[in-house]
Amino acid sequence: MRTLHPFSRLASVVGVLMVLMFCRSLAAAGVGMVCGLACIAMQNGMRSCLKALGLTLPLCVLSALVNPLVSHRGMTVLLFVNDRAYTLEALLFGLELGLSLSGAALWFMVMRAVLDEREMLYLFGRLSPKLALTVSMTLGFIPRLLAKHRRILSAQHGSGLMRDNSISGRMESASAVYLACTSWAAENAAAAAQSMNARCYGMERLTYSDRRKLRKGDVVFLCLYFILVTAIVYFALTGGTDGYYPVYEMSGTGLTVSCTACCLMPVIFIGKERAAWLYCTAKG
Amino acid sequence: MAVLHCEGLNFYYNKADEPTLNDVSFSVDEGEFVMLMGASGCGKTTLLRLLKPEIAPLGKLRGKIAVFGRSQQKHEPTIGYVPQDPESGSVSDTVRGEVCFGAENLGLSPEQVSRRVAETVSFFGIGRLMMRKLSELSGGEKQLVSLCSVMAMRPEILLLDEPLSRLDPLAAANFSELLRRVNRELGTTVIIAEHCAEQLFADCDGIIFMEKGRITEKMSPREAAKQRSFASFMPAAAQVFTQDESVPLTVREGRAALLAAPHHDLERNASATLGDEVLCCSGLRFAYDRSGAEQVSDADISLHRGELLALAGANGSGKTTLLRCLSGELRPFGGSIKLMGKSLKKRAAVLAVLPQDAQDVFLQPTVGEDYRYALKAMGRSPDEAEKMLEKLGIAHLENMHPYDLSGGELQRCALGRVLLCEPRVLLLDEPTKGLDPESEAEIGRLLRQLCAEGVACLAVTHSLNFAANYADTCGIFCGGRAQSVSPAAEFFADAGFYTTESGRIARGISKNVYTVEQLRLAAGRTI
Repeated sequence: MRTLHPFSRLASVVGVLMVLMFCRSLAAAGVGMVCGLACIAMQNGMRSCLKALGLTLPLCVLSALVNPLVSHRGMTVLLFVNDRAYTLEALLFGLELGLSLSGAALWFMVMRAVLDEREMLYLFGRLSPKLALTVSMTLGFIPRLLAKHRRILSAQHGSGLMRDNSISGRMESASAVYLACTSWAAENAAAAAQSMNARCYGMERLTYSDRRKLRKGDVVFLCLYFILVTAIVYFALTGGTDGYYPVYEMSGTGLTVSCTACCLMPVIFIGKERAAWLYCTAKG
Repeated sequence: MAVLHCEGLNFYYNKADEPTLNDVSFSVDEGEFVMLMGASGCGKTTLLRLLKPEIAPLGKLRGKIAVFGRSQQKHEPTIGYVPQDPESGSVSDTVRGEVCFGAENLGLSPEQVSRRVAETVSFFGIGRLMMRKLSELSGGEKQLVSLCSVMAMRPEILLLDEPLSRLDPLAAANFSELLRRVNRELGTTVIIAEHCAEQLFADCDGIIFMEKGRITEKMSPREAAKQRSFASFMPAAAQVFTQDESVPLTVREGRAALLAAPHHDLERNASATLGDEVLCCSGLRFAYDRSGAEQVSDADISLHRGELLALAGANGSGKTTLLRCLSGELRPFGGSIKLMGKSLKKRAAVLAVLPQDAQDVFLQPTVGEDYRYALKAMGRSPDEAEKMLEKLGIAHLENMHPYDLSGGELQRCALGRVLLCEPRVLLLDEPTKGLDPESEAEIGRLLRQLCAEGVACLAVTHSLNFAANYADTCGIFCGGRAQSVSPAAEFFADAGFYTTESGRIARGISKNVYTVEQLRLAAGRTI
C-alpha cells in the first residue's frame, strides 16, 4: 500500500477495525480475519502469517467453546453440561466474538506493517506531538526490550545460572531477569532523553519533514471507503446484523457484501503491488 | 579566534567529595581538531557534556565556559554531541527517523529539513541505509548514523565521546576518515575524546591529556608524543622512538625511524606447550535464515587446556554467532562440536560465556549482592564471593552498581561473576571492547592467570594488540570460518597488513616483531 498516502492507509485499516468491532456479523468477522491474514502473508511473509494464525486460531476456538458454558441462551441445544444447555447460538456468538477480537489484533499488525513510525508521527504529530513521539518511541522500544531480555537470559545461562528446573527456581530467575530488564529500561530511557536534549528537543516546535500530497488515487480510494463505511453503518442500523438469540439469523446480503468489499480493498492493493513487483521485471 | 574557552572549571557530582574536574582551562580555535586523551573514568565524558549545556551533568560547577566569545547559553544548537554508545541514545528505530530528528527540532520549515537531511545523507554516503532499521546495522554503520543525525543540524563545533572505541580496525579507519573530511571540507571544529591513538593522533591540531580530572596544556601531536607519563596512549612508533628529535607518529614515519636506527631481527617466540584438547568443532555450519548467507560456514576450531585462542575479525563477520554455537545456545545445522571428548548438544556446566555487553551478566543492584545471588542459585556458599572479589582485585567495587562502573571495572567484575561457576572452558565475546590500553592489559593479565590455572579461553576480539600481547594462538574469522589459526608468533610473523601497528612498522625490516616491546628491542631502544 506504499503507493497510497499514509492517511489513506490509516483510513483503510481503521475502516476494517470499525467493521470488526461494531458489526455483529459472523461472515464479516470471518472475512476480516482471513483478509488480515492475507495482508500479513503478503507484507511480512508466510512464516509471520502462520505464526499469527497459530496465535489467533486457538483464541477463536477457545472463545467459541467457552461461551456456551457461561451463556445458556439459544433454542438449538447441542448437549447438556452439568444439566445446563450448551447451545449452537451461544457457540456461534462465541465464535463471532473470537473472530472479531483475533481479526482486530491481526489488523493492528497490518497497520504496523503498512505504516512506519515516521508516518505515524506525521499523522498524529499535529494533534499531539509529544504523545505521537512517545507512542512512536514506545513502539520502537518494545523489540529492543525483548532483545535485551533474550540477551540477559542467554548471559545467565552462559554464566551457570538458570539450571534449576523447579517451579520456584524458575520463578525466582524470571523475576530477577525481569528486574534487570527494568533497570536497563530505566537507563536506556535516561540515555534517550539525554540524546534528545543533545539534539535540541523541545527548543522549537517539531517539524515533520516527511510530507506527502493526497493524489487523485488517494481521493478515489478514500471516497470508495467512505461509501462502503456509510453503507455498512446504514445496514447495521437498519437491522442487517446477525441475530443470535433465540435462534441464529444470518445478516442480510447487503451488509455481508459491503463488509467483504471493505476488508478486501487493502488486500487487493497489497496484492496489486506484490504482482507489480513480481511481474514488472526489466526487459533487456 | 577561540570558539570555545574554558577557564578554571571545577565540577563536583552531587554528593561527591572529590572533584571530577579540577581547574580545567583550555581554548579551542575555529576549525581546530583537538583530541582529549586519558584513561576510562578520568573525566573526559564529564568535560564534553559540560560543553554541551543541554546534557550537562547535575552537580556543582565553578568556572567559566565561553562559546564564540560569549557566555555559554542554556541551549547551544551550534554544538553537536555524538555519544559513546549510539544505540542507547536512539530515538527512532529507523535510520531515516534518526537522521531527521535533530534537524526537525530546530524550528525549520519541512523543505529546509528535507534539504539538510538530503545534503547530509549525500555527503556521508548513507543513502543505502536510509530505509533500514537501526537494529540491522553494524557497529560502524550505527556510529555513522549517529554522526549524521548530529551533522544534519549543521553544528559549528562537534564533540565526540570515544566514537572509535567499539569499532573494528577497518570501521574505525573509515569513521576517522569521515571526521577528517568534516574538519577539512566543512571547517567544523572537532573535539574528540578517545584513548585509541592509532587513527587520528597524527592528524590532530592539538592534544590534551587528562588524568584524574586535571588536564595538561594543549600540545601539538609531536610535543604530546614526548609526554612519558601518557606513553601507553601513544601510537606505537611514538612509544618506541620517544627520544628522537622529531618523534615519529605514523606507521610510515615509524618505518623510516626504524630503517635509520641500527635495527635487527628477533628470534621467533617459542610456541606455548598446549594441554589436552577440551573443545573442538569440525565442519560447523550455521545460518539464521534458511535462504540467507551462512554466518558460520565449515568452521573448524580446536581449543586446548590452558590455551588462550584469539580470533580477530571484522564487525558482523560471524564471530559472536560462532561463540553462540560453541556454547550450545544455537544449534548448528551441520558439523559437530565436542566438549571434553563428548558431543555437545546443549549448554554444559563446565563451559561459560562472557557476553559482549558485560552488564547482561548482572541481575542484582550491586556487584557483591550479584555474586552472592549467583552462588546461592548454584547451591554454593555465598562466602565464596569475597574470595573471587579478592582474587580479581575488585573487592573495592563490591558495593557498586554495575551501571556505575567504568568499562574496565565492569569487564573485570563480569569476568569474576562468570568464573563463579568454575568453568574449564571460557568463551569471551569482545572482552576488551571500548577499554583503554591499561584496562585492556589488566584483562589480558587476568586471562593469562586463568590459562595458567588450566582454563581454556577462546576470545573473539577486534583488538590485534590484545591478541598479539596475550594470546597463545591466533586466527582470523572471515567468510564464516577461522582462517590461519596458528601460534601467535607465527600468525603475526606471516601477517601482511592485518596486524598490529608495530607489525606494520617492522614489516620487511625486522622479522618476528609485532608488539611495542619487540619493536623496541629490534630498534635497540630502552624504556
